[in-house]
Order: sequence, then structure tokens, then C-alpha cells
Amino acid sequence: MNDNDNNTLQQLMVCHHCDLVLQKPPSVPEHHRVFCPQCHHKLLSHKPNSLERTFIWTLTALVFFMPAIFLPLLHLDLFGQSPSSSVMSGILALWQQEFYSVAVVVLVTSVLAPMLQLILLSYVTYSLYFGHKLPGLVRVFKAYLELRHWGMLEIYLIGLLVSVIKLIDMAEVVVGIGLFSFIALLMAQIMAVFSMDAPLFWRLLEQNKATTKELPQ
Amino acid sequence: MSDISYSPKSARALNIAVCHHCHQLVRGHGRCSRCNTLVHFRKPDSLTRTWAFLIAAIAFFIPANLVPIMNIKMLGQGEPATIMEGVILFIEHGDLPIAIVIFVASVLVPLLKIVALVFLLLSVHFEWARTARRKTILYRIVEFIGRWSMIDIFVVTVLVALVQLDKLASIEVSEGATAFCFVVVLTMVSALCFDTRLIWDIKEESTKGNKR
Ligand SMILES: [Zn+2]
Ligand SMILES: [Zn+2]
Repeated sequence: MNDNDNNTLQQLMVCHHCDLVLQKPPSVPEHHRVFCPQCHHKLLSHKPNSLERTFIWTLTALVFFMPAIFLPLLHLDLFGQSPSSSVMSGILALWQQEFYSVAVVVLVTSVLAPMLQLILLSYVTYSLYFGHKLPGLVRVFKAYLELRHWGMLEIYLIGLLVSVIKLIDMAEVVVGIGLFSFIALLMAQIMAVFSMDAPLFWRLLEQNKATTKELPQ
Repeated sequence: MSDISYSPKSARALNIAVCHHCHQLVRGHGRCSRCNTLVHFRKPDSLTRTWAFLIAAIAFFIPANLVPIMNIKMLGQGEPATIMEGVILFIEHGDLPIAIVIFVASVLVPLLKIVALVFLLLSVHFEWARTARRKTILYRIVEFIGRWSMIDIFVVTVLVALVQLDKLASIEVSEGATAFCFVVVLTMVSALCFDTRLIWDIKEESTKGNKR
């Protein structure tokens, strides 16, 4: 009876925006997405080779992370001096001017959240891809999902662009090497997020857990 | 089987709850077997929490727009700049597209976001059952665009680090930036606390009532 009910539940899915109960499709066809017929929420999308692609893009993003955060994004040529600014030096400047809460919010949204997300996701994809049973996978993946609202690298880039336009009248602005790393980091991070198929990851995590306990699937 | 999948009933009416993290279906309350999250039919205390963060955001919204967010000093002369003054400066320089971007991201988005959340909350309180789908779409727009208000904070961050030439030219942060930061974070948290399924519960209730 209980098993029967579980099987029924396995074949269903529920839209978490309007609570509509739907039949789960066996697979999503290529270039297709499944929307909720009642409220139009995107429920599933086709993501080919999700594991490999997520793994590669996450690693690429991690490679560019440190240069993107610490190397100068912009140089200025003003009154014969040439100051430069990186993501980190901006946060330090806010801290030195005693705007601690702003400094913390910028630190979280432009450094900590994106960095933690990449580290956590690479941990999960590495383990699933190579079949290594690392500890705490489910908790790590949950933490990754929780952080998704708080990484704002793409918004930082737009902010940077606006700053350049603000400064261009009063000084000569030169692009720094940090900016190229930053754009590479952003691209790789966006690709990693788009390749990541959450329902697939949960299925694999469940299988991973089941095999460690030596239970039949 | 088929009677469940084509039932217009909500999952809660069928005693099915969805895991917030992994979207696995769970019978009744309890913990998700897959990820061990405590599963609820609806987000706990959704309305109270959404209101609390929203009211805090409204309190910070006024200083965020009236108090300067930065202080630009050129050759010893200071000119504090609020967000609106920054927008006007861009218009005077002929950078209309940038002026529009800043105005939309920093003034319009936070304002509309607050108005939209108040509207959604009131519609649940007073059980306005119509246009449930449009309200859900409104929520998704609020959720998506809210983070873009951070643009101005990042502009301040970049400028503060870059323009530090002692007496010649310097840019300092001002209290408005803190208030603005709080508005963005508080409205984001407020939106995360809101549960769109409450809108559909009212719709379900009202259609049940009509049939009787
Ligand atoms: Zn839906
Ligand atoms: Zn779960």
C-alpha cells in the first residue's frame, strides 16, 4: 500500500508556485521546456550533458576567480596620478570609511556568495562525475541552492560600466587586466548555472546515497 | 492515477507537500526522504514575515532617496549627490540611456517592488480571488528584478576605491548608501518569504464556494 502510494507520487510533480499537481513527463525533448499550465512557471528544461558541462564551467570559473577579484578592473589617469580599483580594494575603501554594513553586503554579493557557490558546486559535480562518495553532498548542494539569490557578479559588471561613463568626462579611464578575468569569470559562472540540471542532480545524489547504504535502487 | 493528475485540486488538498529544496513530493508533513528538509504545505508564517521585512524596507526607502549616497569633492569643493541628482547629472551630460538605467534600477524598481509586494499581501488578506495567474507572474517579475537595484551600490564601491586623490578629487560614501543597501536586501528577503500558493488557495476556496 505504502509502496504503491510512493510509486504514484514518483510519477507526479507539483508546481511550487501554484500547487497544481501534474504528471511528470518521462523526459524533456531537446530545446524544450515544460511550463506549468496554470501559472506558467518554468518547471523543467532540457539540459544536455549537464554533469560534464557544469563540471567544466565551474572549474573554468574558479580559475578566473582570484584574478577577477584582486587584479585592478580600472585605472584612472587624473591630475598626473593613476589610481586603480579592484573588487577587493572597493570593499576595503568602504570598510575604511566605516560603512561596515555596505562593505559586508558588497563582500557577500560580489565575493563570498559567488565563490562559495562555485566551490560547493564543483564539490558536488566532482563527486557525482567521478563517482567518489564524499561526505555531506546533500547538505552542500542544498547550501549551493540557498546561495543562488545572493551572487550578483552580473550586476557588478553593469555598475562598473556606469562608473566608467561617470568618470569618462573628468579623467582618462584605462581598462585593467582584472576586467578581462572578471568577464571570463562571469561568462563561465553563467554557463555553469545554465548547464546545471537540478532534478538530475537530485536523482544522482539519491542514487549515490542509496549505493553507499547498499540498498537496491 | 489519472484522476489525480487531472484533478483541479491543489497538492495540499490531496495531502501532498513539495520539498522546498529538491521538489520531491511528500505525503503530509514531515521530513523529505531525499534531502532531510522539513517540508511544509506552505512557507511558514509567510504573510507575517513578508510584512515585517517589507515594512522595514519602506522605513529605509525614504532616507535612501533623500540622503546623499556619495560625496564628490573636486578641488576642495564638495557636492553631495543623492540618487536623483546623479540621474539629473547624467541627463545634463546628454547620457540619456544611462540616466534611464539608473533611474529605473535605483528609483523605479525599489518603488514598484514595494508597491507590488503590498498589493500581493493585500490581495491575500482581502481574498481578491481574480487574476491569480497575473499576480503570480507579477511576483516572478518582482523576484527577478529586485537584485538589479544593487547597481548604484556597486557604482559607489568602484568610485570610492578609484577616486582618492586627497585634495584634488575624492569620492566618499554617504549615509544614503547604507539605507539604500538595506532597502535592496530587505525587499529581497521579503519577496523570498512570500508564498504565491496563498493566492491560489483563495482562488480554490472561492470556486468551491461558487459551486455550492
Ligand atoms: Zn503553477
Ligand atoms: Zn527534499
